[in-house]
Amino acid sequence: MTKKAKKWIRFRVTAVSILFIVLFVGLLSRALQLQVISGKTLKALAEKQHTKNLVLYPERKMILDRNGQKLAVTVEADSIYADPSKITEPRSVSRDLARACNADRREVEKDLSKRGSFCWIARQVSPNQKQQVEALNIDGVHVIREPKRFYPHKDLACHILGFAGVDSTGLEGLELEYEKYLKSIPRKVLWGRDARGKRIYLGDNDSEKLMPGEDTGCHLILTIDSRIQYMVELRLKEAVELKEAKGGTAIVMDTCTGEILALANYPSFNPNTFTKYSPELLRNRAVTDCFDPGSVFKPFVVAAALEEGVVSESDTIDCENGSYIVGDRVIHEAQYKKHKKLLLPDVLKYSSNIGAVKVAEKLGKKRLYEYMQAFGFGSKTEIDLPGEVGGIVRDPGNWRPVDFATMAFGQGISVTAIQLVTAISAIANKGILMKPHLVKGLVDKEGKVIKEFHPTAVKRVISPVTADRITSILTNVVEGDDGTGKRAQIANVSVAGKTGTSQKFDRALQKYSSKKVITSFIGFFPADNPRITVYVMLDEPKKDRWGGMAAAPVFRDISEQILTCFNKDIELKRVADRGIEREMKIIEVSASGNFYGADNEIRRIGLNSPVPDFTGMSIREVIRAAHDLNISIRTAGNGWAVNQTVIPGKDNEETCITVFFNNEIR
Amino acid sequence: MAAPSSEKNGKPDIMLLFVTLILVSVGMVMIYSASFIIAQDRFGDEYHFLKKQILFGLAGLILMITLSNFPYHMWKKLAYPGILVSFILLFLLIIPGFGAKVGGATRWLKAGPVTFQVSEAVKIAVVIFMAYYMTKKADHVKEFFRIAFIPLSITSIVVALILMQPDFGTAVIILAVVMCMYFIAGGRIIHLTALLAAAFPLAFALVVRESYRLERLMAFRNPWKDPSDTGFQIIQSFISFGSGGTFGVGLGNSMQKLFYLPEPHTDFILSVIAEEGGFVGVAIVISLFTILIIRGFWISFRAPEAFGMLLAAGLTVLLALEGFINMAAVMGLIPTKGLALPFLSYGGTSLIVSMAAVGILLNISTYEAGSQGTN
Repeated sequence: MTKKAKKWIRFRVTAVSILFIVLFVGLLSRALQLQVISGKTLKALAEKQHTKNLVLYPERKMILDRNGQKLAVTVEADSIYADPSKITEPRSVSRDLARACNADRREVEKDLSKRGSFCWIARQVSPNQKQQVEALNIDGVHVIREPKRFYPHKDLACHILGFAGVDSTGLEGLELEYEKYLKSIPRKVLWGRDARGKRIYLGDNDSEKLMPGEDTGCHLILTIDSRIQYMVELRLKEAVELKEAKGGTAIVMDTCTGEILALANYPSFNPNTFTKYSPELLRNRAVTDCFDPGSVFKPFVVAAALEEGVVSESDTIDCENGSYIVGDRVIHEAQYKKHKKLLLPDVLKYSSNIGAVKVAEKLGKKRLYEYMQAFGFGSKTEIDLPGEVGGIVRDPGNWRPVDFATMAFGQGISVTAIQLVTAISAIANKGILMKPHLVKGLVDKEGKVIKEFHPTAVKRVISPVTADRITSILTNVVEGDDGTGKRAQIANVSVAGKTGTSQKFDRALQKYSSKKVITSFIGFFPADNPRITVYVMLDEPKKDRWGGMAAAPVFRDISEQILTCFNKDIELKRVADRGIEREMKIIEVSASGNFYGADNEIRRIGLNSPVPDFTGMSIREVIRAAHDLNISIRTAGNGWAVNQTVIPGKDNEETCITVFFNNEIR
Repeated sequence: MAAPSSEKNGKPDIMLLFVTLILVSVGMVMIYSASFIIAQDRFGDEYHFLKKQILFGLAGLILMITLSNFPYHMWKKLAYPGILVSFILLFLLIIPGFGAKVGGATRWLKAGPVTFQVSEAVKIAVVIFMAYYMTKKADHVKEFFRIAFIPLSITSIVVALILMQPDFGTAVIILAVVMCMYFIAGGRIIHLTALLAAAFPLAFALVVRESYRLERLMAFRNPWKDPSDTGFQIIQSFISFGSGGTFGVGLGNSMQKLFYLPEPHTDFILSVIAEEGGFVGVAIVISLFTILIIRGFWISFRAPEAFGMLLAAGLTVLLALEGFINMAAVMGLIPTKGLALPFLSYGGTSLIVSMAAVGILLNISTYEAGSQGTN
């Protein structure tokens, strides 16, 4: 072998090695491009496929009445879901599943045919349906327990409570209004997942960071007394059925504090199955619907006139023998009665329309309008319910003479039931208008009071003297043997009140209908020291259209029962009379020294809490939770809790609960 | 032809040994990291692959040390028998019953409890044959028939047998190594061009005939076009690289090995390294390979005579090509080939054969050209 040949070989070896070095430098620059230069885009893709944000909703908090009765609770329900990637025959599987879950086969098949590893088949199914699904034993179909809102008393206080949807989100009523308290901040947990969709815990630090806020929710304590509520609902239902009305509303309010003790609309609904009802029924018509109040409005006109001094009790009003021409219209009395001259109290006692018109005329448009506003008509009461409307009070500049006249007897003005109750309570409460409210306070899971809602006075509307004068006139409406409200009399207790019947505006005919009426009774008792205000309204009764006939007896039944059954419980504190000036805004009138009975009542709710669901917690979390709840615990296995010996939600009867752990959570 | 100076007057290339051992160790760690989930999933033993790879590594180490003490010119005598045994073994694979079919290809030969990948060993046999043949015919280097036709025919038979497994990647590597060695030995460029021209239509026909190869090619050209099927592997590999970024997610923290990457511990081991070690990790691996091949070519450069030079160059080209093809494939530069990354990928035959190649290189490195006093 020659030196020359060797040199040539060496030359070529060098050439080949340079080629490879160039190739490897090429590899290095490719790596630089993939990892550093376009790394961010690829990293985003990686994160997208590696992680899955799980939002864990802590249990929605309870709603309790003023005595600690549970009105809305959270229970666990079974839901069916599927992993479409594991289902080979969506057609037959969907047929079986649809039959078992009572679902639409085509919908199920559509979901199962999609790509991905998760779809709901049926949410919150019955135990029977769950069993059927489990019996099918289909690979890729799973059952998961998830929280479900449950209303143990069904229809009771349905319009107040509203309802929460499948994802534990408040949709109506207090559930919606107090959403931010009832719902704890959802815990976001970032889970890793492998290519098969299995969850992988990303390690302590990462996930704890992503869990802001602990169980921040609060139980609601209502002003509602479910005993009164139940009774009111029962009486209202009876009356609506008896008088063949379209519906009805009844409200019971603590006169002095503005606390709502009961609020009912009929027809009602069962919030557990709210989806089956028309939206019409789900509305809380006591706050969302307004109507012409009719004669129950007259006391406010008379009160304003008395306060302004334009009339006094000894004045006689000429009632024009039953027909009074205003503008181009003739005003008649109800049922075409004929009154000649009436003393002012008798204008209310006999509910004279013409008398009321005369009083209003003395007051004048401007002052009538001012008092309507002062009593809260035309604006929201700010009650803690969603969807409240303010009613319609037109601007006095637009009033024709006839509008002004009819307004005096409650036609041509639109009000809500809650406005009427609040306004009449102002008369009963020595002239102070209180803000109506439904929630007494918020307590946390330990039973500690987080927030109290004190009675709030909005303003003074009339002087205490005027209030007393109008109260005595209204007492006469009921107590007088020939008063229109005599059917509302209660034994041993004097009642002040007023009947009302208004014609409904028929939109089709563009005029007030004489057939479709709203008949109502509003009143409070005891007249000398009012504590309870009750309003009863029946919508379009076919029998006994006049308020005194249809609504007054319902008022009487409700009031009598409140008095006999709950005598002790309604010793409610009178608003301190501190000489509050008219129009002066005050925040707190009476401090409620007695927060719904006893504090230990609230504590009991916390301590009596059922066994929690440990599933998904780490051993450390389980031990901490058990310690907090004073439960003794045994652990088995490693990883995350998958099972426990006592079913979550059940009261703890065993002395020690065993919690099973596994490294894989499905 | 003058006998080479057979005195061992140099020490084995410590740098080469060192780099090899580092690569093998990195491979062990990364195989465990990449495979423990899959091993747990498939065999219920997270150490399944690691244990086997450690055994292979020990076998490889013993073989490497043995061969580093085995005078390299003795391989001349084994050149023809080697190629003959290769023929036989490759032929046996075709006979049903002998080969172990894995994933549609028959690449493994069963011998009792041991299975081994014939073509891995065949590569070495071809390199030794080429080195010997080209040295022997050094004087006829310009004659096409003697210097090109014979090795071409032998290689063609080997390649044809390998293609029948089928193992397209190994066939390509053997062809490329043969051409490199032919070039280094002084073969004419025109012969090489002719060889290439002959090989290209054949390769094209093979690619078009086997639909999966075409799919792989198309996937390589635009993997994002269909990320769920053909392009899936390469996109997952890209994502691994991107996910690792500059410094990586940390050893053991790869998410891509959780069934996103098809074969995280074998073909896509670099993707796992890229994710866990980031660009830094990949740069280290590429650098180690670069050092390894530079040392290999340096050994060839300094070898005392033509056989040693060609043998060292051939073995180095073999390792360099395997490394390059695997790394380029996982980075989407060339179609995915299903070839192992020497020293790093899981796989017994590949590791043992690669270490054996290093053993031969180490032996060559102990002979220095300078001792002959040619200067």
